[in-house]
Amino acid sequence: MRLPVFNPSLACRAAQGLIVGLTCISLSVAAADLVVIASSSSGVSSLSKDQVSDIFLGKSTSLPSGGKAVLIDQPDSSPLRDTFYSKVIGKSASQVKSTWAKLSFTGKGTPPKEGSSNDDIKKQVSGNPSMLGYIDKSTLDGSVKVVFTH
Amino acid sequence: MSKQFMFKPVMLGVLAMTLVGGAQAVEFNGSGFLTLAAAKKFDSELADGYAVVDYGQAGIYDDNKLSIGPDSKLGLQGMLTFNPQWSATVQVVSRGADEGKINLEWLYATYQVTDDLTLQFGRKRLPLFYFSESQDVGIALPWVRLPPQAYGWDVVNFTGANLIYRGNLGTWSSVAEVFYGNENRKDNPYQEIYNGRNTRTDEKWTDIVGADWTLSRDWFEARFSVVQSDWEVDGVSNGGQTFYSVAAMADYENWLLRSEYSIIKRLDAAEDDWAVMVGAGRQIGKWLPMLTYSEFHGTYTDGSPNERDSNIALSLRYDLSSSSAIKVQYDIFKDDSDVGITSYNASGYYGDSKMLSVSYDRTF
Repeated sequence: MRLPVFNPSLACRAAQGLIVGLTCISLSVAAADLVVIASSSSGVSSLSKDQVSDIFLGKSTSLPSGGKAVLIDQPDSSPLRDTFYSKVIGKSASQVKSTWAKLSFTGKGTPPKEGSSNDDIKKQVSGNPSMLGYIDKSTLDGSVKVVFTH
Repeated sequence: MSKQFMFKPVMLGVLAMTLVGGAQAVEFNGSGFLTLAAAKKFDSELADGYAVVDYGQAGIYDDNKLSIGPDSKLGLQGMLTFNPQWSATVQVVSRGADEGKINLEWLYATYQVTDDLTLQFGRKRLPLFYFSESQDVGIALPWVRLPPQAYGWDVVNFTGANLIYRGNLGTWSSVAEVFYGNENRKDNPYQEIYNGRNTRTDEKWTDIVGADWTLSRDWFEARFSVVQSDWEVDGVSNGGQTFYSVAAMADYENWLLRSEYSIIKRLDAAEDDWAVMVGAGRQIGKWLPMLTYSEFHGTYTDGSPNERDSNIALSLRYDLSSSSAIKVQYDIFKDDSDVGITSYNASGYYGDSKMLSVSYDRTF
């Protein structure tokens, strides 16, 4: 006899009938896919993970194609910002802030600007060939190009 | 005031640049940092013993009461960007160690010569060692303060120019810097530590020439530097001096290493010193416990009493948010100096002591 497979999502929905207010969370949700973007007129076609890391930690200030890199971050409270720094760069948000504090208060670098949303970041990046940002992959459109995919 | 006089050429340079850049849209960016610290020295070997936490600014805990002055500071920075090539930056710092007086620590213009080459001129922090320039920025440090044994020198600023070259050596990132300048420090607070409270000593470092080179790759960073100058105290020349430093920093997975070794030669003044610091810690979520040893080993080749001391610091940092942290630190200070190195107190030396410190650091 074939045993029924336990499905947490279905089990939760069944329990919802018994417990008012229980919220079912789909277990299939993974960390948001994110992409590093540049303007379509940028000379940068692709970046390695190490290059993204070096640029977003202020270790290198110029783009591989030449020209100074201008960076834009997701808002401070954004989960995507935490994901970007922890998964791509391998640092906590706090370690990254400390690194930029050291650079910016000693004349060695200018910290990333802060965008207000994925749309705002796309808009700013599309209008500036020196700018690099990162957005949720699902919000990607033709206004910018992808230079790194996580 | 002489300080203002000294800043005049710098001010004029920045003003000239403002006029050059004035035709275009100017972007202003303001930021700052804050450290609120309280500490209590205890278990002192001497009744009049004292602990120096910041030599350059004479940050001193000289009684056994809880004090909030010596380590607390507020820094404000403004940066004007005229165009992608030119910018001007000013930073003022108000310190508890200086009774809250506001000091102009940085005022400089930056010119981006090429993508890889940056020219800066004006007033800056003197990059004698790895942390010298970021010494005030508590949020960037794992400790409540830098180990004073490795960072205890008379002059912390200079006015001049520096050139920074960035490049890659294979898979390594390289930042090389050369600089030249002078510093005239009237009524140097550092000298009060040695010459006595309320004494006045003027100090000049002239023809400061230095170079530093930082190499980094992935989790490792190394820095090498040499700085030399002539120096005089109250108009009397002490000849030349040279500072050498080698620093190695590692952030491997969650492990952290901070280390530096420096040699200081003031041979015309019969002084031949070295200092070391080694700290290791581990990031555990938002917590960073760390154990750090630091030592200063001074030698006078003419038989004058030598200054020698060491410190063991057990520190714990907790990140409250991405831009703020609290820290607790326990220091075990050991004074191995020959008696009579200072006139700050009657006994002439620091005396062994312990200290408990807490701090709140943030950047904004």
